[in-house]
Amino acid sequence: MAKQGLFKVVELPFCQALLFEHWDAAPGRFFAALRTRGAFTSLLGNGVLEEFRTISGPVLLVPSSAIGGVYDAGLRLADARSLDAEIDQGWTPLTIGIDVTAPARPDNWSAQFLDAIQQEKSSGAAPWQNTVRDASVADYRLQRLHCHVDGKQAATILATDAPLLPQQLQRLADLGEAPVTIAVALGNRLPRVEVSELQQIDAVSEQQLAPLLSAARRLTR
Amino acid sequence: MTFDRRQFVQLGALSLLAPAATAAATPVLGRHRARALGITIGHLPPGPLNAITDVAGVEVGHTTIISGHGKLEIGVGPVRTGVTAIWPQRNIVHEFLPCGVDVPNGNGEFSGMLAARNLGILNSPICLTTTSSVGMVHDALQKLQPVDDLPSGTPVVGETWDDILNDGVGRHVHEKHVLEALAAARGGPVAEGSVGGGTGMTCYEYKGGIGTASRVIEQGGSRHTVGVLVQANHGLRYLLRIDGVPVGAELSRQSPAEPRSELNSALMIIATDAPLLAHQLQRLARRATHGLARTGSISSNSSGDFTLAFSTANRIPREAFYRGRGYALQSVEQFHIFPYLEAASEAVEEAIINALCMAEDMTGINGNFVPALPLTETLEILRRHGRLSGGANG
Repeated sequence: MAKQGLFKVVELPFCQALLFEHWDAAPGRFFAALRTRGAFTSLLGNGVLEEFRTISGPVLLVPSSAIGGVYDAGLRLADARSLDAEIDQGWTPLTIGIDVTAPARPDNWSAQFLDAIQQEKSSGAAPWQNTVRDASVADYRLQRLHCHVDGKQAATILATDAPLLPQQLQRLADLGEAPVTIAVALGNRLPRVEVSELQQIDAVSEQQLAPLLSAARRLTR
Repeated sequence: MTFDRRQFVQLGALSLLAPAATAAATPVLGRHRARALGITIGHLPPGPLNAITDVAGVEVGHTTIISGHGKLEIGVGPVRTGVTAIWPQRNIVHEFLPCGVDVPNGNGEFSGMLAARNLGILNSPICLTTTSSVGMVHDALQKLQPVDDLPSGTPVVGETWDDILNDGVGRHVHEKHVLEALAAARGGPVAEGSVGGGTGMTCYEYKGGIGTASRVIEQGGSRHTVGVLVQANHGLRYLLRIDGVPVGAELSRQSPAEPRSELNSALMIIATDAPLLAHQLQRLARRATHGLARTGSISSNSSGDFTLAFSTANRIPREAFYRGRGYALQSVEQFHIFPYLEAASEAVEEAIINALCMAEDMTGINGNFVPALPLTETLEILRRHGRLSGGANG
């Protein structure tokens, strides 16, 4: 496992997971945004992200031909967290397909996958190249993971500890040049609250957002 | 306005003896809102006014422009148009509100959508008017924006096409009409039917226009209101449904509509005092489509159907939005948002029916005549389907 600051990367020979918090964290969500480009279609779990503009579990990356199986394993992870499988407990697992030849998977690959995520422990490397870069902007940090296949961008994950709102995150994600870009803001963790309570949300001004956008533009190239 | 329902039922029964065509052209009864007629949409309770102005701070004003009769003379008339102005709150250009938008079918103009999508804010009064006056109204609203070193706000202007009755090409809405509507805006009851931007509008091939409704939600010890105002200019007669009843199909058999263009649209404005953020308001806006659909619309190919939803609960000072050190917001938890979605859908449906019930017959350019929804026949159909409340089903 590589500890990368704003997210942890767990790798296996057949897939990769980005964790923003421990897989079994208390119910809660982070704001998130998604941008796809061109003919990219290999994505599962995007419905919940686009409807609620939040994410509550790891981002899974997998060869496109195996996306269904890894999505299902991600669902098992959410079930292990809670059989209610709500939108703040890992439903639905955001699973990105990478256009690369899938390596052979051992028979017990699903158990290996769940164990690796639960232990936050890598075992091998996914069949694509990863580069991680980060930037500090005033009070906030920005970090991105690029997945490359044969020198071409395949996916970008952007994370920041700034408390960006969904529409601000969307502007960040829109800068991505990869076939799929996910942007996640860790500055607001939305816990589950009772009906008599309200979520308390922080937001940044346009002046604070501007340098984050500039940094994201540099990082996503 | 109060209405003696028992008296109406007696009158309604008598009017059914009259020829249908006569009754359609000249309703026996005056115009009344849906609830006063015994039509109850949905199950959530309305606010005291059953209007968008039930949301505290929201004010509505109309400028109605009606002049001339007979043959169309572009630039002269006849004129059947106007402007409806909504203040989300009086200080909107200095204190922004979260908002979201949705577009069921985008063959129209609704300025301010990019501000809603990219910034998640509303920072202008909202004006609803006729198609050819969007630019003029936009410029009039722009003049309300502060001029300093911060970015200017984005005027919000929506349009629907009233050229069946109005000399639209003649552009009879001027800046003074916008300012009059803004100045006339008040809380309290909202005039409906053929007023303001709705003056020349046609809905399900009956006279349409402005309609409003509201719903109250109580949960977790809090009480919130969702209010709606529509400019209804959409739909074909045979599609009209009221409270689930295919009223339009039955009315079309009695009195088919003349073939007309389907160039028509619906503008739906949703206000709430519930603390909802921009992305949640977008979800609310999307539910307007369900209310619109319940009245029979399928958002035709040529429709310009737009929804904007805003919340008055979180006020964001302009300075803080652009160059402060951040700001704090509150929001309803997503797990508790269902009643608000339901309220938006119900209130849009009722607001459209109110527009139809309140609008009166109108004759416009070239003698074009658009009849009001025939209430007597409509209520008789609803009575047969057991959909009138207060014992009026017979």
